[in-house]
Amino acid sequence: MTRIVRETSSIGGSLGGPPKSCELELSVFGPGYGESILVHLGNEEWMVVDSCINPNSRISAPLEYLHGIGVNPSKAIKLIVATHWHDDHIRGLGSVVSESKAAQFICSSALRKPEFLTLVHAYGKQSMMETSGIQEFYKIINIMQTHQSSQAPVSPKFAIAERLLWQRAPTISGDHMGRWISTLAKRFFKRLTFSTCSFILPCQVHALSPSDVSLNLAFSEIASLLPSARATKRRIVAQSPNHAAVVLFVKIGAVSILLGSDLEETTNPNAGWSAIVDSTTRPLEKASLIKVPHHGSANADNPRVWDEMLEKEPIAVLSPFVSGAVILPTKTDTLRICRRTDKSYSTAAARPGGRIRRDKTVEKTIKETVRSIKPMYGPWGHVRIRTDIKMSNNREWNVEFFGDALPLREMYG
Amino acid sequence: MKPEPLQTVSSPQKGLSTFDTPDLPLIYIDDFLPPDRHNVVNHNAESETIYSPPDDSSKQINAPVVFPRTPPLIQEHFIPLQKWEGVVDQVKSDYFIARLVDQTGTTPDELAEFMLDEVSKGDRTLVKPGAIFYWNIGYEESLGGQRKRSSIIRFRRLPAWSAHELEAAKHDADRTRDILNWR
Repeated sequence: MTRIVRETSSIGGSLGGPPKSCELELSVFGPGYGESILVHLGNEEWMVVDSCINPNSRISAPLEYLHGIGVNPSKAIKLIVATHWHDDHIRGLGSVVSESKAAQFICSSALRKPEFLTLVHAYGKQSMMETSGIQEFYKIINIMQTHQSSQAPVSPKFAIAERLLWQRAPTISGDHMGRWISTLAKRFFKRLTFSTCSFILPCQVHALSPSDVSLNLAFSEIASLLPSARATKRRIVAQSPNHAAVVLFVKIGAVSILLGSDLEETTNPNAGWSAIVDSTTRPLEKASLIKVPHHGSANADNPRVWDEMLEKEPIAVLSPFVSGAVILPTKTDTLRICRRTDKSYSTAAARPGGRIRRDKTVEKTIKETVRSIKPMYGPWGHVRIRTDIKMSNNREWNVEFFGDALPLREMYG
Repeated sequence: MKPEPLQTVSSPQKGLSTFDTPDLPLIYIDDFLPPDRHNVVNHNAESETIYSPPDDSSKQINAPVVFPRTPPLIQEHFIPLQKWEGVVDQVKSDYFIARLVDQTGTTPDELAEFMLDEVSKGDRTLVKPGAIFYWNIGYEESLGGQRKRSSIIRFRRLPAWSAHELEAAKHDADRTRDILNWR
């Protein structure tokens, strides 16, 4: 099978229309702090993985985008996945849950213990903890309880390694009009009427993590965050690695996608990426697309993932992280990823956002007071990849750049 | 019935002006200022002090003459130019990293490194991950009109968790667990 990858920059930021029913779309949004992924699963059904805020509009990026291409989120979003509860992956997810009346909410099994809900209720009511991941979860839970009273499907589904989270079986249905099969069929069988018959693309969404060992680590961490009586109130600051992040493997027709979340590698072979690669019960197909884990950092890299879980020269997308002590991906990370595939892209350049204009007196005082100061957000960008699922040979991939998105090879010149 | 003698206002903590005499009780004009004028930041002290006016309900005033008071030099007004709410993210040996949320305008959140020396000694024990503080930049203006550029970092002294709050959180969590079948 040959592959053609077309790279185009959006002119004037025009988003165009929605993908066709038979088109796969992977959209990755990233403002340098936070990340969100949208996947068109075919048949006008979408999955939202995490949420971030567009720093310009202050609206949840996946919602803003869907409205922008004329898709109604309340009907189209079927799955919402919170891969982990860190602040940068969950901002705005409450508004996504609120608008998505037909969606199944999925989160890590690490959050199913009563201690997590106690943590959410304890901190969620504290106004001082605005904008934290826990606060966002508090919103989500309250919205889900409201949905419950309106008879919508709401009980969460918990992701754990080797669990099939959702699937759409390939069936002939009168309810869903698969345009591509109709068009093909009409071409060859002009006398037949297809108005009541269509083909639904098969699709499966698997969780590849967290492993049992990772779960136990996460349970301990969450329990340790629970405050005790007479302890001073503080905002929760997540310090530990992302043990319990949910990695997803999505199969749509013949195409597979690996969404790496923020899962990092650990020294324990039964946790992190080692546990996933060594699993004998995970889907064995090789993915054509990967959302590179943890902003391309070296501690989330496992070479066996590239050798054993991905096609040769896959299309790779990442979002940078500019609000830490180390900006990710580093130049070394970028070179490492580009060596594995030259079809690698970033939602934005890995640098903090532009200088904030302020009163000169304020600026002078800031310089005298702090060692350093930088915007938490970097430039805003969006990478969109579309392909027609019905193609089996000569698959054509369209990679589009919006905002500050760019090929990874251009990131450090 | 013999009427009770009228009570007088005495302000032993306030300094005497040239018009004060020990025998004649006086009332000062700042006793009549609205409450917000009493929120005077004393920047020489380690924490904010708020002067509370005397309880008017328990006194009657028999001094009709009001003299302006010469204010102590330490009393200044703060004219803010920029305010942030900060959350401590990491604490290192001699500095800490904090996330700043603009309270004045709509500039994006920022990440800043502060030397611990910038924090007053009284607040330094509060510098821990998750601690919340305010950083204000502006002018201190004395009542005499002198201006001084100033940067003030003040950590919030949040109340401790109570057993009741934690019990309520657990109760709410159990309820959510049942409603959403979160198990």
